[in-house]
Amino acid sequence: MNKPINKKQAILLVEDEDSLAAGLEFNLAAEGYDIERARDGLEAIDMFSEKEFDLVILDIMLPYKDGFEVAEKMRETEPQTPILMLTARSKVEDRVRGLEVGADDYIIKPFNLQELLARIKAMLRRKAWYRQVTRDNPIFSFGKNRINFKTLQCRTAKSTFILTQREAMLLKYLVDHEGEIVSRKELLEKVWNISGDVDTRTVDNFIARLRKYFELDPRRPVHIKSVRSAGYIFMRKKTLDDKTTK
Amino acid sequence: MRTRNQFSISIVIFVLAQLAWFALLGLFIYRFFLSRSLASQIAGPGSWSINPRSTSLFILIAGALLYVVVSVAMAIIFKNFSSQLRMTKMYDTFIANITHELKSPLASIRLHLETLSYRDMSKEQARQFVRLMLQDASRLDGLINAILKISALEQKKDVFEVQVHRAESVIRNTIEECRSQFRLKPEQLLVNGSADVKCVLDKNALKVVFDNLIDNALKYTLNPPLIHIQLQTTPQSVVITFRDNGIGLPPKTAKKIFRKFHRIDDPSSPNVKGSGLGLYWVKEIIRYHGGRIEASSKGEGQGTTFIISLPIYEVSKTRYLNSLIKWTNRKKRQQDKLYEQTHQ
Repeated sequence: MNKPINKKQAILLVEDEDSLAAGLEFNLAAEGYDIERARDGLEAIDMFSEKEFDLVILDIMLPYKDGFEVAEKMRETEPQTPILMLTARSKVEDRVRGLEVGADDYIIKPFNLQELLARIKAMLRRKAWYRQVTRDNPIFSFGKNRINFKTLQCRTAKSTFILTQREAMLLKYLVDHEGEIVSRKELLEKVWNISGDVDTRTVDNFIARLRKYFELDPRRPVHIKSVRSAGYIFMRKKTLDDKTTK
Repeated sequence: MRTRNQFSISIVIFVLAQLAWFALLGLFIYRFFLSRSLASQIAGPGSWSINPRSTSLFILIAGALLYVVVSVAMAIIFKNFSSQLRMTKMYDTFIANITHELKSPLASIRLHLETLSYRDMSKEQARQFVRLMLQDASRLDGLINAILKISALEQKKDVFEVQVHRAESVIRNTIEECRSQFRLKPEQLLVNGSADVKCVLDKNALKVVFDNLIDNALKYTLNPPLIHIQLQTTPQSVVITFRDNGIGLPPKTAKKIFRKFHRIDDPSSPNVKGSGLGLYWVKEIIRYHGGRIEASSKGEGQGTTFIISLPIYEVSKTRYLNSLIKWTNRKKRQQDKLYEQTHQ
């Protein structure tokens, strides 16, 4: 947010296929983005650590380090930058793995140009929204936990650590809908921006992680509770009527 | 196809061994009752006994023999089964790789076509995109051709058109074609030695061999590529030594790289893409020509050396003439058939 408003948004394109990269570079430049390209996994990590990018487009099959590894490394240093995975693999496991290591969205080759551009725009908008909502009052506490949604730093009864972007967005969504039942499908749509066939277990895995971080006893959660066959509900304060929830 | 045949042969062996086992068991029971009735005839009922030594010796030998046969059969079946499993697994990775290899150029062609139709651009830029698309299209074409030709070769169809050539000129010309295709500078691709003999070769197949070797040398290297090709002759063959400055091979994988669908499974490799067909195709081509190919490396980072030996004309003459006779006969049969059909 310290950037001047008229500055072009910077995209890091990680793609080793020259032909595809040339086409993408042309189109992204035409859309008004500032674009830089890395040809392999190592170069991508180097470039990412040197400069701040607003978005990363990441191929999976890359020389030296594959896209999953690159995404993990990027998440360690800069948890807030959105990552769009570009892949010729269409297996569900690959997509889920991509999302779990920290990609925010994926698109399968061969893709539609308009769709790709629309997704990039949506991701940048979401990032801007997240910055906006977390800028004024980024610190949120519940129980013995304290989270800074801007830096993603957390302090809990057990330890201090940094959340991933996705974990933070999931928590933020739950917190914003405090006291309401939120379905897995809704979470997939709103937090992951996915509709349709992806396994809802992805959501469960992330919820399990959040509970491990923030609940004193993850098996008997008091803040992030399951509602049988409906979804999840977030409670800032410990409630007494634990009978309604599992 | 070959593995499938071996597999059915071992099943037949197994079934035969079972039948022999049952037959022997039946024989044993028959003998038992026969001796029992004989004994009761001679010495009256209840007083018979079997001589334990002769029967148990027979059972012991037959049983041991059968045991060996059955276990050998089981071992063969198990070996075949595990190689089948390995093939299936490799086939799965092959499908994943081939999907990637087919989809990548397709994605790029589609992207360029969409760009051309949605955006305004200079003529030069448009031409550049068309050039890239043509490259992608020929990549797709090459891959599809390799798959089709390999499958034709495996079904023992004739895919090569061999002719007698002067070895040196045909090899050097092929290398020159590759040099311009891969845009290699003179000092990056050196050819030494001579091979002043005649050879029976398919020129296009030879091109596939050099294409694949050079392509690998360029893909698996961290340095600017440097390829050294040495030509020699022995009394029986032409020997081509192909040496690159690539990342080399661990000694264990030197043989495996010629296997069908084999891919070096190392995510930190400079090249992670490919169909796993290239070197298999190369080996099959060399084998078809009656030659041999071997790979070796002094270790990782020390480059790879391929040694190809191809029989000279005098050695492969009989084979070549036989194949010519076969070919002529087949052509003649086809023509006769055609003649009959048109004159009915």
